[in-house]
Amino acid sequence: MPGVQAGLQVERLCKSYPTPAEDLVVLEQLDLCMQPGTNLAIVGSSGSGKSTLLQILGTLDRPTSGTVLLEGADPFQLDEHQLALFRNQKIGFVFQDHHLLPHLNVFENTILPAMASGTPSREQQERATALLGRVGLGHRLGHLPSELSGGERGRVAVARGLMMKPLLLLADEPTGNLDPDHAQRVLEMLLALQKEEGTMLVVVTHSMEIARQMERCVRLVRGRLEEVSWSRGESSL
Amino acid sequence: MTSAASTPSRWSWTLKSLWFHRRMALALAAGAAAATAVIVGALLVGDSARMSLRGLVIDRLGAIDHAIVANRFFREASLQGLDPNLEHQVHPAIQFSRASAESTTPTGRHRAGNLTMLAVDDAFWGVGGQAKVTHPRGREVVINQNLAEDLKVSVGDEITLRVPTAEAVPGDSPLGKKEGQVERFPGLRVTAILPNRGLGRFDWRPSQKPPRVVFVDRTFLAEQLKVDGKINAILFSRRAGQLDRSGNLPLAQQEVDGYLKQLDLSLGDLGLRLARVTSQFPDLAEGNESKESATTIFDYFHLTGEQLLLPDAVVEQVESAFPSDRLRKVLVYLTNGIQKIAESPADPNTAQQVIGREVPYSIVAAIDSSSDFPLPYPATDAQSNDDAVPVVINQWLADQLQAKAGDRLRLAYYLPENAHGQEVERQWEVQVCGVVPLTTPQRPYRRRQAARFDRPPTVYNDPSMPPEVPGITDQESMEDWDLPFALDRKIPKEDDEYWNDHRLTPKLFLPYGRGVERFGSRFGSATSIRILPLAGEDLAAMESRLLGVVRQEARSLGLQPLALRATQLDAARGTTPFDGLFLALSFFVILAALLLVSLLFRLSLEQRASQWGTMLAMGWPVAGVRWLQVAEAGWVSLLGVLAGLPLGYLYARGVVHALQRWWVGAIQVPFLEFHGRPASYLLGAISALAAVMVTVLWAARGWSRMPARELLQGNLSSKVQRGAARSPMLRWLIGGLAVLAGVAWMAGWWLSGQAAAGAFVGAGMAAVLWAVLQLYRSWTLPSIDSRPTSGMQTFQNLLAKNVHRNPMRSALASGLIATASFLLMAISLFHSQADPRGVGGWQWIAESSQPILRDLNDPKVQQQVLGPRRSTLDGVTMVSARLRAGDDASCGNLYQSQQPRVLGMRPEIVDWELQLPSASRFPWAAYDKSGQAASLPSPWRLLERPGDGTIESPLPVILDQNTAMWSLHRGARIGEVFSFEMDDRPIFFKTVGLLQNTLLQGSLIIGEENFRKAFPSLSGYQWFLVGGKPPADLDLARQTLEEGWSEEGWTAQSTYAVLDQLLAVQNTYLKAFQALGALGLLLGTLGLAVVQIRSVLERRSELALLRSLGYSPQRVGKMLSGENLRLLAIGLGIGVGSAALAALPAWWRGQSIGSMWGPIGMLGMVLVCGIAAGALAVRQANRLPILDALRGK
Repeated sequence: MPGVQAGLQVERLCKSYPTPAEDLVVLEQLDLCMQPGTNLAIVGSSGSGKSTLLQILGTLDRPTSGTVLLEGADPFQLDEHQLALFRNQKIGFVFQDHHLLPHLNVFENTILPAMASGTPSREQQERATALLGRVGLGHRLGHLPSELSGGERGRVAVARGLMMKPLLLLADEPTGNLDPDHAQRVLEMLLALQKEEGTMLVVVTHSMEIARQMERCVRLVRGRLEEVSWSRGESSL
Repeated sequence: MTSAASTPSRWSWTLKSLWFHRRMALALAAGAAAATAVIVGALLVGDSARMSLRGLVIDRLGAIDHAIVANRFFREASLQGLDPNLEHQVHPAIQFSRASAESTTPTGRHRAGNLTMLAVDDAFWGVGGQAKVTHPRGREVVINQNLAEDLKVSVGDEITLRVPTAEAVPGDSPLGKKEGQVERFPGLRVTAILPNRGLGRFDWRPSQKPPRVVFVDRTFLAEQLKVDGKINAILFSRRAGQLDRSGNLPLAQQEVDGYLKQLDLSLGDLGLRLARVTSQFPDLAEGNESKESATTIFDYFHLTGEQLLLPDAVVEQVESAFPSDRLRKVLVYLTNGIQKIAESPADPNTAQQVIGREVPYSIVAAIDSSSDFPLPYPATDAQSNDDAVPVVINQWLADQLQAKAGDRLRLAYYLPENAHGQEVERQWEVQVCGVVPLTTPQRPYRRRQAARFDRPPTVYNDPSMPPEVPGITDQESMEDWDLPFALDRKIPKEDDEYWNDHRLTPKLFLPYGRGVERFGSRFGSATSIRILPLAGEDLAAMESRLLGVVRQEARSLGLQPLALRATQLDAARGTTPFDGLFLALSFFVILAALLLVSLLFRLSLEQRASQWGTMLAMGWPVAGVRWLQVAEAGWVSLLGVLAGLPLGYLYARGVVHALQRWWVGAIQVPFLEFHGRPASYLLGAISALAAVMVTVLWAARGWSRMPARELLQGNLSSKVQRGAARSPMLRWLIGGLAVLAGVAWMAGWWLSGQAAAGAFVGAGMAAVLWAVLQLYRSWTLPSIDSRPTSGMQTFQNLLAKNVHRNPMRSALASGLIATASFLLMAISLFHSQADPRGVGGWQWIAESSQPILRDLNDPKVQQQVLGPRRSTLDGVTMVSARLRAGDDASCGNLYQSQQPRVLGMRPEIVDWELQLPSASRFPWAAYDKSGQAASLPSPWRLLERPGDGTIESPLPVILDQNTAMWSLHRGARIGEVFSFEMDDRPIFFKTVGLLQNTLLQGSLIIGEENFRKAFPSLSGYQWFLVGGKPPADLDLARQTLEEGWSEEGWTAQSTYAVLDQLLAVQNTYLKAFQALGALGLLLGTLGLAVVQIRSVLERRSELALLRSLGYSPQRVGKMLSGENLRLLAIGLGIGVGSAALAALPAWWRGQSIGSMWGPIGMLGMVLVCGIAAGALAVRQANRLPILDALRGK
């Protein structure tokens, strides 16, 4: 299927960790497909393996077995250097704690991914400025993270995640540290930008409010994904 | 785009990041600054020592660059040969390097030996670059402060000087004089006392100790010594503006060699005499015969030397320059008696019977037969055995002995070399193979008139064959001979008549080779060379030709061209490279500083782990992230290095100041001044930067392999470490260290001396490393964390858990303290104290300025010299040694020893040792125990093995281990063969014994027999050990000896004082090492403080939680202090425990160990500093706002 080849395809993904007693299986024969430009929420109880899945999708961790194809390419076949480049070009992250570099200002934090392979081009610099304008921080380019509110930091993290026009944007509890108002605003902005950029968005969250606003929601149970279909009045898992 | 929207370059990013993390950056920079300060400081201390030594050379020599010194006087007129446009100014001088002086003051009589005497002209004083000194005239002297203090004199006082006179005959030969070889100048008035700087420090040899110097007027001294118009030294001083070439020793040596070649020397200047010996009949000198009618009996050139025997080198040169048929070597010798032996004794078992009278004191000549001097030796001489050496006697002797061809004669003669100053008579049987005629003159010899012949003399009528010997050849009668031994044989009238008629005409001839076997010696094997003249060849032509031949041997004839300044500057490199030494001494401070850098850098990486993780997550390559880490560290290091430069200056200043104080006791003079070359700052800075960067890269290496997800979770060091702790390499390392510690400790029991101390210290150090690594491993492995009972049931368990939380950090902090405390304790334990065995049972060590040719132990000699005072020497034992003067190679001389002095030890030292209990004998670090050596009663016997100083047959040598290792840098291994250039040739030595911490430091000790062969021109003894009586009685004996041999400048000092002074040098280095170790310990404590404070910051939410759970601030403080104390105690425990392990064998063996109060005090200080660091952490913890901390802010 050509459409699937262009998106994300995960097949029979397994991840286990050795322990002194026995191997701890976190993900087991997990399958997942995403079309380009779509978004997805992954929900599940604590310790269900959400973050592990996200890290594997983000190529920060390797699966024990199974394949992950992004645009038909298996990143885990790449060497470390190529993998870093792949991650830089194809994948964006928005972390719960934002992980902004405290000594860099808003603009610099945003353009940080573009600096991974050298000096950013003029287009990249304009894009960073434009992205920050779109998240409402065009007037605070020179501010340090310590001078921003939690919501503003989240928005910087979103702009940074989209900086390299990724195919896949991974967000781990992107609004976890925000109050509901700020959380909603950040989410709306994230979704709007995702649609504008045509990127795939995977959000890991505990919040059903957030999950409901996504096009699709899956639940991680005992290492496998189950589709969640929303019925009226359902607000939590 | 606004400026805020500009993309930072990597450099500006780095700087920005540094500014943001400036507190951590500053801490890192401080670590780098400490390392830089120590490295730069060590280099500057090296500069200071080297430049101070150079400064002393430049100061003491003034503008003097070179010198030519001679062991004889030569004509001042020879200077006319020098190029008038010479770059140097020339100063003719008379010098004595081993003169002695005496003064009598109200406090008593004071003596000083081994002083340098220079007799100079007024113009000389310009070379010193100091205020002009009033030149001494007549009986005036100028002395230096050091000599003035020894003699306790001031300006206006009078002193007596003694200088050696040249020996006409080697003192060790029977004809050599045993006494009176000293010229005495009483009543010399001191007109000025020079300070111990500038020319007041003038010395031929490099040493930082001020010499004793005396200056007199050259004209006055030449008059007194009856050497008008002669000198024995030339000094060359640089003219103003002349290029200084002293930095290049070969070039400087080449220059002064050239000056020597330019001198207009005569044969006489080289100690040689050339005469044309002619005998004609009738004698033309009588003036009553025509030239045509005269018959030439013999006519030859006769080359002789001032010193009875010609140097072998000269003989070889002359032999090679003339065809063999023109040249004859002659060796004449004085026999004590010649007697005829009965043909065969009646009873073969009885001694040979002599017949007739004994002819006393006859000259015999070893000379081969030639056409101009035919001798009827049998052709088969080469095959004849010693019992039948063929000799030819003259008719007079044949008549006196009633001897004819075939008769056997017995010659009584003294061995060519005395035994300990005593002539030894031997007898030798020869066989007459012919009788040659001798004409009796009509008129005998008179003082100024030759004998007159009325009948033709024969070629055997040649009284010129022996060289001139003052006191013999110039005497009227045999009775008047001035000999060093008594003429105890009766001289009958016939023999005196022979003297009158024939003077020293030989009575007996033997083949040259056989004569050399019997009468040749280390002093030479020919007394003269006869050269037949060619037609028309006159004396001037022959002199010119011979001069061309022997000038090449000017050095072996005693004229030494010295590139003084260049040689001494070269020696100023020092016995040990001081920068290297102080780098080594400071290694622990450097190590501590680098460990601190490593610790801080790791902390900084940990602190910013999530940043690095974020960047990796965004696709930054690992290399790019690492580049940023290293670039930041690089900037910080650079900053630290720059800050460390002034600190290095201060550090070096401090060390120099401390050494000025500590070294005074050791090397007697505060010579050290601060010097710093820009190159040292640069080199130090680059080295420090490199060391810090290597440390940073090492610390960062584990981090580059960390996955981004781990980094994003922060505080991950334990995960890195857990992998390392599981690695088999660490297990092997720990196991290996345990084995190494055990093996080294066991080896220490088997070894002895410094090797044992080294093994024990090595075992202790291995134990420290073993314990620290074992601790790290046990803290890291999960087995401990996952123990089911590891729950925090007790407060102590909680403390233990907290300490284990970051094993690497805790192990590093404890390890730093363990290592520092171990070094401090171990060095204190091995601090050298004067071991009584180091003096070998002797009470006094003495030297004389002039060689003493008699046996000081001989009661007859003592009676002769000391008279009734001799009784004070009853029971006193002395062992003497021959001395070849050279550089002091002990650790008391900081200059590089280029020609160490050599002692030729008398074998009696073995007897002395054997009568001592073994606990009082000189201690040995090692000696040759191979083969038969193992069964020798004393290692000193090893010196009796024969050697001639060639590479094939090196001289067995005993030397102090410290001298070999640190001063000479050679010979520190038994069996090692090494060489020194001495007397213009390499002399090879082979180490057979190494003494340990004895007063015999600084010299190469060889056996007396080998010494005589290796240094044939040296006679007598100049070095003595005195013992055998209680110290109080010995003091009286010392005074007696000093007075008895005052002419020779015999002075003694206490062996214990000498040993203490030598040990003071070693202990100075140990003290420096200890002080620097303390500095390292301080850095270790600082590291501990950093670990504590960092730990509090990391755990702020946990500590806040404890507070929220109801822990009081005191309880939290107690917990943190407990953790701190635990790390401190572990470090101190490991260090002190390992030091005790190292010292246990020394204690068990009853060896003296140094005072422990100093190191205990230092450890106490560390404890206090460590506790203070903990208190700081507690204060920090209790100031944290609980709520913010709980929120992670």
